[in-house]
Amino acid sequence: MQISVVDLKRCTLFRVSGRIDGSVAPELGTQLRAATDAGKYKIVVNMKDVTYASSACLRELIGAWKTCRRWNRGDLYLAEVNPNVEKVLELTGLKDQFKIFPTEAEAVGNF
Amino acid sequence: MSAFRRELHLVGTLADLARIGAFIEEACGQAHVDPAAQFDVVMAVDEACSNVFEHAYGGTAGQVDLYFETRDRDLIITVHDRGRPFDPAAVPMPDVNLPLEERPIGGLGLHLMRQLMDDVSFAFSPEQGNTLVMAKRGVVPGVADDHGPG
Repeated sequence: MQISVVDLKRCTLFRVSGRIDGSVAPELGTQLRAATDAGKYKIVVNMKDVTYASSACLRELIGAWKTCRRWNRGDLYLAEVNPNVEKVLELTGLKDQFKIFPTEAEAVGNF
Repeated sequence: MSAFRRELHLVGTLADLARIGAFIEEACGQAHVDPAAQFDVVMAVDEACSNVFEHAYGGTAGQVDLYFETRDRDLIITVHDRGRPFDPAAVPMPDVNLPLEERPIGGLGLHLMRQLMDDVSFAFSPEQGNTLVMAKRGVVPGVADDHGPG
């Protein structure tokens, strides 16, 4: 798994790639918490190059989502989700919970 | 198609999940598992093994035995470990209809296994340890499918 984090004017952009399973998902969680601990509650996670995302990945995203949305201070959007990841989101009832954008630009622009 | 069987035995941790995924993908290809079902199978096994490493062995390395076999048109995956006894009834199932704010974080792995596979059953014995059997039905070519045209 590779993660790059870019601080934009509107939000913080995470570009995640590779396989996100139980062995590496905690690292994603650590980086998301580093952002929210720094007061960054508007986050976009671009998943275009994520080849596999397990429930461990979802747990980290859900945790960060809850933190961002507390007291209406922000949100966490997903962008460019591939069909397999979309299937997992659907099976877990998360597809209608996260705001999911077809492009990174739309996600960022929505903040 | 005659029965197909592959095994993987390892003393592993979460770091071995990718290796396990590769084993399942390769076995699916060799057994001619319906490509539309392969993702489901790979993911269900990944979730199962994650639970074994995380919960049965508490994060320490542990023995896992994986059996991949076909029976007629069905695929049967068995995951065996000797870690802490697992009681699926003790895992609260996520309410996927609840708003996300109200949902506890957890239980998704077992939920996904049950969604992705047709049968999921757990057994424990002090002698054998935990045995998980998952089945995906009708995803393997049957004997009749081996016959050529004409």
